[in-house]
Formats: sequence, C-alpha cells, structure tokens
Amino acid sequence: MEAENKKLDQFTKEVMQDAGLQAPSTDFLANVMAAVTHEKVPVKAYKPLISKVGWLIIAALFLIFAFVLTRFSLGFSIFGDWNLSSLVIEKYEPTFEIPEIPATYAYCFFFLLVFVVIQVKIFSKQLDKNLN
Amino acid sequence: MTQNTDQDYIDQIRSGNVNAYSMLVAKYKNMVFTLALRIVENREDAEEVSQDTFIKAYRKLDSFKGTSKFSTWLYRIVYNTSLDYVKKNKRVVLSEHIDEINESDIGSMQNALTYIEDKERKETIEKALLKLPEEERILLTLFYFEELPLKEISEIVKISYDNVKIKLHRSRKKLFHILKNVVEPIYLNHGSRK
Repeated sequence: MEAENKKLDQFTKEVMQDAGLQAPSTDFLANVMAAVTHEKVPVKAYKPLISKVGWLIIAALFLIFAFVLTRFSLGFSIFGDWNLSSLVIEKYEPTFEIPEIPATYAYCFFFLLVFVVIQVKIFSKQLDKNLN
Repeated sequence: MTQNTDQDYIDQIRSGNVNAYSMLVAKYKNMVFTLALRIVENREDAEEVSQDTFIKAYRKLDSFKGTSKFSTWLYRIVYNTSLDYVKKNKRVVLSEHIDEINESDIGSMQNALTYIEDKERKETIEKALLKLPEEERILLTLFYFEELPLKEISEIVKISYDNVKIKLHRSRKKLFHILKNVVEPIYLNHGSRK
C-alpha cells in the first residue's frame, strides 16, 4: 500500500510537471500595468498611534492634575486607605540614597502610566483592524 | 549582484515606483493564469480573472502585512476571484468514481503516456484535470507543480492541513482514473496504427 502511494505520488508529480504552466496573451503585462497606473499608489499613510492633539491633551491633563493636587488641598485624601508603605520590605536597606519622590507625583505618574497602557492596547487593536 | 525579493518590489511600489509592480506581474502571471484557467476553464475568462487578480492585489498592497509570502497571498486572491466567477456562472462539476489502484496499473499508465506526443500529452493531462472539482485541480497544481508546503496550501484554499492531505490523496487517485480512461483508448489507437 505504501509503495503504491509513493508510486502514485511520483506519477502525479510527473503528470503535473508535464502539464506545465499556461501563459496569458502577450499583452497581458501591458494591460495590467496600464490598469494599475490609473490607480492610487498603495501607500499606507503613516498615522502615529497617538496624534499630536492626543499628546497635547494627555500632557495638559497631566499638568492640570499635578497642579491641582500640589497646590490645592482637598481637605481629605482620596488615597486615604492606601498604605503603600506596607509594600516596602522592612529589612531591606539600600546602600545608596533613593531620592524622595512626593506621593502626589508618584500617584500622578502611576495614573499616567495606566492611561498610556490602556491607550496603547486600544490603539494597537485599532491598527490591527485597519491592517486587516 | 543581489536579487530583489518580492518584499523589495513591494517596498518600491509603496514608495511610489509603480513600475516595480511589473516585475511581480511578470514573475507570477503564468502561475496566476494557470490557476485561473484550471478553475474557470476558458482562456478569455481566465485572462480577465487574472487581470482582475493583479489589479485587486495592487489595490490591497497597502494592507499586505508580509506575515505570509506574497505568492501565497496572491494565489489566495486568484483562487477566490476565480471561485466567485464560477459561482456567478453556476457551473457544476460531476464527481469521479474512485476504484482501487495497483502498482502495475501505474506502471502501464506511465508507459502509455510516453507513447503520446508532447503536445497531445499536455492537452490530455489538461483535459483530465478539468474533470476534477476545481478545488482538487488547484491542490494538485500548488502541491505538485509549485511544490508548496501543505500549510501554505491550506492558507490559500482555506481548509485545514489534514483536509488538504486527505483531498490531495483522493484527487491523485481520481486524476489517475480519469487519465486511464482517456489515455488507454489513445494508446490502443496508436498501437493498432503501428
């Protein structure tokens, strides 16, 4: 059975090679090129994931957020229940000095990071959809 | 001298050199035309389908991501365009009955084919191929002529890898039986004339 299959496989290969390829008319290439020269050049315009306006809005929001949190006291802390210090390993003592980052900036940076991650995810999905 | 790859030509087209497309058309026109012809069964229609295929491919070139080979992508377009054409014309192909084949059958068929002259042999094979369902003609052409791997064929015809394997096996047998029915009378005719 295996030998028969091999022989049939070889036979089909020879037959298909014998059949060869068919050629279209001699002016085929010229016709296609004449048709495509009237078409728009298929250039995918470069579109950044986040537009200039988008970056300006993000920057403006960040600055406003940072400004409001540092200048005005809300009278209460929206992060009151959060105790990030519990995440610090007490026994670990760094041999170098870590510059102190104000908590407000840390939270601002954290939220900015979250926004960027979400946006990258959304934009990459949209980009994939456009390409398909 | 380095040879340009398909991707080089695509990059040139995308940067505005439309003439680079002629290199791709020249490279693939025979294969595209053969695939179209083996589905639509008529040279004029196949020419129209092939031309349509190249124009469609050009228009869609901006969406070609390069995750598959350009040829695989192009063959999928010609396959779909040809099938759409056939659907519009609602042609039905009758299926061929498959009997068991033994080794001596294959040997004698190989002999019989060598007795037929080149041109006649080519025509005979082409006619036999047209008696197979369209999908099977394309599978045989892509696998045995273009020698594409099964995975790429499954991407072109949009059937599973295992299904390609099964259908190829079945179409090999069918083609053999069709050829046997066509070639034997020619062979006997040639023999009686000698």
